[in-house]
Amino acid sequence: MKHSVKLILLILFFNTYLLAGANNYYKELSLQGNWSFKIGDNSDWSKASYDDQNWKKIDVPSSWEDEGYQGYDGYAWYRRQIVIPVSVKDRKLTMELGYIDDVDEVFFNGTKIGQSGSFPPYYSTAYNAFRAYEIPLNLVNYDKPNCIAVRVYDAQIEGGIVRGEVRIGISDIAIIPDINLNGTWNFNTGRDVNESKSQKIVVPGRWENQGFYKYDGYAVYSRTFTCPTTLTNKKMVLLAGRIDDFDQVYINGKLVGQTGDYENRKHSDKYSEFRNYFIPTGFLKAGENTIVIKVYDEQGEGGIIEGTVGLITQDKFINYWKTNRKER
Amino acid sequence: MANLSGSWYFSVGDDPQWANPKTDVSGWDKIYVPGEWEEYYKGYNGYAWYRRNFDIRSFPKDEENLVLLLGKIDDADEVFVNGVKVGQTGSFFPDYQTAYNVDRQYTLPKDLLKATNNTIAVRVYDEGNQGGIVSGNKIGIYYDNDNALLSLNLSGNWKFSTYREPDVQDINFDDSRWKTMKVPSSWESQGYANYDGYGYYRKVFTLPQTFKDDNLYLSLGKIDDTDKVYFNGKMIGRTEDLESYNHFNRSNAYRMFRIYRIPSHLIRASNVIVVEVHDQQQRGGIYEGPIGIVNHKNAHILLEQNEEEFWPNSVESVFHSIFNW
Repeated sequence: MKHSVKLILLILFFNTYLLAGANNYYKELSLQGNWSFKIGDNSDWSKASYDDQNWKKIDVPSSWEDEGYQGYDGYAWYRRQIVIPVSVKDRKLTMELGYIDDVDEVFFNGTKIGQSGSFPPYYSTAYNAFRAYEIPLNLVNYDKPNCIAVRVYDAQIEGGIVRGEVRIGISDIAIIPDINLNGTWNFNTGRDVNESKSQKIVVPGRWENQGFYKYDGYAVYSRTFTCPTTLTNKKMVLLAGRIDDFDQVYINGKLVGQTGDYENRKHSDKYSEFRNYFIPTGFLKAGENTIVIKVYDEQGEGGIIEGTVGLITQDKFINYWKTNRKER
Repeated sequence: MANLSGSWYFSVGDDPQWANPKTDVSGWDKIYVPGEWEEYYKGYNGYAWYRRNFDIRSFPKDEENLVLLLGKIDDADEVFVNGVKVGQTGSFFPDYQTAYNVDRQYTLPKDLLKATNNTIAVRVYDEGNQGGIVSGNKIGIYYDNDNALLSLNLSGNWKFSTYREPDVQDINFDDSRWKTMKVPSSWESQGYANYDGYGYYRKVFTLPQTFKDDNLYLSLGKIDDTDKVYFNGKMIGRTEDLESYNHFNRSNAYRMFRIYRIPSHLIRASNVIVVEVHDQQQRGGIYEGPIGIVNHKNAHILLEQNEEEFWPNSVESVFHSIFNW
């Protein structure tokens, strides 16, 4: 059994390890075809170690109504494994899951990497949002099977990973932070952190897809992170991703960077720009630190939308940009 | 002259040590100046530094009026020559202010320069979109035609306040509590980010006896937006928008070159100039030179060298009869 799984993976790998032209991907790994599938809902199903041998198979993409689950609305999970070759180590990996009806959250080797829409009791659909989630590279086991688990909630009519491109896109050399801050953050609308009212949100990702449909205005992202002693005496750069529209970033209560005029909110054209904020030596404490990113969104999509978020030493940051400079 | 366009050492990141000529940058990348760094560093925002060396062997030995031109820098910069800061335009975090549309022009103190192996370092911060030393017809060190025409150069530190005080015209007025402001340079680049409104500049200086017989003018370069200028307590000139000026349009007064005649009976050995500036929006203050006293022959040349191509009809400027004597 195990042998045949390996063989299937190997075949999948060679069939799909192709140059992709249209999407700026240098290569791609297809995720189309057979996934393991089970209706119901259980948090254990997100785990990489969970044994899904007895699950049914389902063809992806397709609505589960077409795959023998006629009339089913509610929760279901998709699982599969994918081998990512060591030859693409350091490359940026983007998981595309096409269109999912209605709500999903995605786990890579057991860690949540993205969500679109929101689950009951605060249900909101994201059926018309194309799913693209950056895979934090610290989660990847190269040349070994990696586990993808997708929790889906469908409110009505067709459900599941229904259509569109389903793949892992491999693009530019990724910037790899020393402290990765992609993942789950606390989120409040308004200007200030309010722990009792905060909700979870995945960074990066537009907040419209995470339960704040059509929300414009102020919002605050917050979380803690651990800084090893070895980094406290280093010049660091905070990669804050692409933010729509204005932002102010505080570490341990002190302003460390901002883009646009957050207070006066004069029109900003920086919504397509990636933020790099420079943190002086000795600013980070060994152990726990807090980071707060205040955002004001004028209109349209909002939030920390895209990019690797984290802290990197300035030396590695300089080296990354120098290695990836382009010839004129 | 030293043409500094061409290949410069370049690195993203930020480190005050990079201003020091002893810091080895031979491992840095090289990029072409002028040009936006996105040509090589697609999507890069944040700090980056430029470095290169230059010689000034070709300059006349006694040259006093050297100016460094760096074209337009996006968004803010500070410049070091042989490790010494020679100027800044725009401002950095936490009082960030862009100056992407300002032509960089820095006076170079002559005693800073050696014949060979001078080092220039430019620290740039780009908030977003294009970044770097992006454009300019002239990038380099030039003989300053404008400053060379001045009989007395008054650029440098002036006193500054945003409050009008009653005795400010008095030569004995104590302005020691006032802030120091570099002239010419916008007040946004000197701690008054986002300040719009009134600003008062004050300068006390002595005039050599030999000047008194000349027909003298005060050059104040360009001021954003309008100004009234007092010499030993008497108004000698003003530039302002006409009353009919359409308030939906931006004032055009900031484009006008200011040169005001100094009536000879006002001139003493020790003199005080007070400039009342009103800024409507964005950049404010005495932002472009030359600043100083000039004789009437050179006043003509200065005006010719600095006159706008068109004369905004929304601006009234009392230029005090330079054409009428």
